[in-house]
Amino acid sequence: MSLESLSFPALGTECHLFLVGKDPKALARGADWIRSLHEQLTRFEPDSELSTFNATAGSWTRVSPVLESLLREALRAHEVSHGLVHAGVLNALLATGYTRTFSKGPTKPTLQTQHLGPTPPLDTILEVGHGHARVRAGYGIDLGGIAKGWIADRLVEQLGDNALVNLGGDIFASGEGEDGEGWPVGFGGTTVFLHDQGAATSGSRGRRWGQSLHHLIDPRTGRPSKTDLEEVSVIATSGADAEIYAKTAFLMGRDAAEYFLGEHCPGWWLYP
Amino acid sequence: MPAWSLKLAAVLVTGLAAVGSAGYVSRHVKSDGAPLHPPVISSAATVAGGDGHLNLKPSVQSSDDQQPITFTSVS
Repeated sequence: MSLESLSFPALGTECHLFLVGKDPKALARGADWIRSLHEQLTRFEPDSELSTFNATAGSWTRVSPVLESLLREALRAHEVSHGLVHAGVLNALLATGYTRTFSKGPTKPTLQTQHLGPTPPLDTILEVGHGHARVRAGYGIDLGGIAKGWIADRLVEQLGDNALVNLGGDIFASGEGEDGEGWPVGFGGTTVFLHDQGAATSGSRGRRWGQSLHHLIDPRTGRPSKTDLEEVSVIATSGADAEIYAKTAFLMGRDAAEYFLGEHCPGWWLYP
Repeated sequence: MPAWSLKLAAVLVTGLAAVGSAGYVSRHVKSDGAPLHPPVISSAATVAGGDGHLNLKPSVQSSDDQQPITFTSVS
């Protein structure tokens, strides 16, 4: 069985799709789907559905099935992570200077003047109904912390029973790969074989600027997190869960992360 | 029955219980090499590489020889 692959930029990162034993045109259709989701969910374009939703904060707004599902996923992530994975920290992200796509560079931080403080629990500022949703006035949603894993899971479903999707390091793989041993994925300095599993990495080494500024906001402080970890990689049963667990562990710090990941994940890498 | 005999019996029973317990414990010391001792394995293999720590439970297969097709990383 032949291995087909496709790489392309989207979602502010590099995307890699792999497929065994199927029509490679499915990869092109998958890439188109991801690009359409990017246009729908980016907060960096004023006419995206997410930007429109944030612009109507305080009012119930119609949302597409995709955005509704992702908002529900954001609430699930918040619960699973004990409040640490928080899609409602948009104000803090903007205050750090992360106001435009990272490739264009950060803008001047305003953290010193805004004094944001802790972000209220997500379930107190976001309500999701059938086909409509509302975020509390004065707040906004950023899906950057949960969307890629969720999208990877759904795209693998579309690609079939032997496929791998890697969206900027957020991975989900179905089936046994090309050689039947599992999908070989670089993980913590070695190669692991994924079988119907996800993997993800969270850390502050990638998107960092200024004096200790980065994109991983701790909702308990409303500021870029300060932890004794720089990077966490995890394996989980789905790409969405891997992304949630990795970010949760990163924000928890080493001691709590070891315990938390031991309860939830079959594999993890902590740096340093 | 005189009271002193009851007191003596109580002291003897207590003393015998203490001596017997100590003897039992000393004859049943845990032996790591005992044939029926269940193997104790760690729940996760921990490997320190550079300054990082990799933990893989037995359900995860890994190889240092196999080239990965892709990798997870900070994006």
